[in-house]
Amino acid sequence: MAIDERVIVETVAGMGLAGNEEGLIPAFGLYLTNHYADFYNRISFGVLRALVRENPELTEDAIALLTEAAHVCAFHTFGGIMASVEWDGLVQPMIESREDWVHGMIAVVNAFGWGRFRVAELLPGERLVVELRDSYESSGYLESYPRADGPRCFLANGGMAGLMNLLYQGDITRRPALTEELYREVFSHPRSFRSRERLCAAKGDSHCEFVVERMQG
Amino acid sequence: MNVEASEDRRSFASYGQVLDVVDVGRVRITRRYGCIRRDQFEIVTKEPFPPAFRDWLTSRGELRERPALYVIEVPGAFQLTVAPRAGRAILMPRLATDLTWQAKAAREIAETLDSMLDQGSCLAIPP
Repeated sequence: MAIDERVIVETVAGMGLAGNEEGLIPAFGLYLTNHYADFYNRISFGVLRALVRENPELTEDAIALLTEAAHVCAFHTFGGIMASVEWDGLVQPMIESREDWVHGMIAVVNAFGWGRFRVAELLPGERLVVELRDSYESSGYLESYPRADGPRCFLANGGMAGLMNLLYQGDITRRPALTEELYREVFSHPRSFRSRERLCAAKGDSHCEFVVERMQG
Repeated sequence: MNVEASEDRRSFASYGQVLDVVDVGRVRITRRYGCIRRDQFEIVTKEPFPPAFRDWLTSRGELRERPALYVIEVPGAFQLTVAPRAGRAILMPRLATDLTWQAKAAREIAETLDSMLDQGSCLAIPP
């Protein structure tokens, strides 16, 4: 593997990513925003609790909605990053294999400070296992609520599925246009990837862990 | 840059959709829809950008530079992110500018870059 995570983290950290006078961060071909993790957590967990309070049978629907939001986010954010000038300048020269795209993206995510992600296993085209420490979703959950009875890192979980779908289902290496049609084609495919959060700090595990595999079709 | 054609396409465009592609000498500009008030301009060459291009940009705004990348920030106007070895840059205009100005700014940058590429070729292969 040729990806040098240290170089990627140092470069991204040194790019001075901060809001401009519009309150936006134009970077990686996207208009990013910098806002409090607690703000996202409040909305995310608030949706879950509101729906469950309304009707406990809606639990799975609430989780499905939050996961779908994560899939859309991953498609555009990870897809945009992997098509960006920054990727071309910084990450692309390190890439020697398709799997390096996963390692490169994980390095960029770590540079953003979304937690400490580590690829524990990557079976090309089939399976990805990622460990996550200092997840802002699980730690944020525990700051506001008692220990959870299930995993709570909805965005990170859907994000990992999105990463595998972009690479092995949508072939982001060919730089396709990130259209709604492509999103539907990739994520609705009967053999597309889905992720489950096997371990989550919000339910008492030492760290979070995501297992991404293809649906059985 | 064909402003009228872009205007027609943008009526139904979604984020990232290509509105126009223009070649300025050896520089290709791809204009993509950003939102109703701004587009994004990808500036690409088949060869690395010359160091003189970076020097010219430095005179226009604040430079943030890393070994593989540099960013020129022109407050109130645009941000240009450049991967010089990849021969690729992205111009992300500010909302304070209008669409016509954004296209002109992209073209000016492309023309300057093209002139520097020509200059480089002449130096490399004397007549």
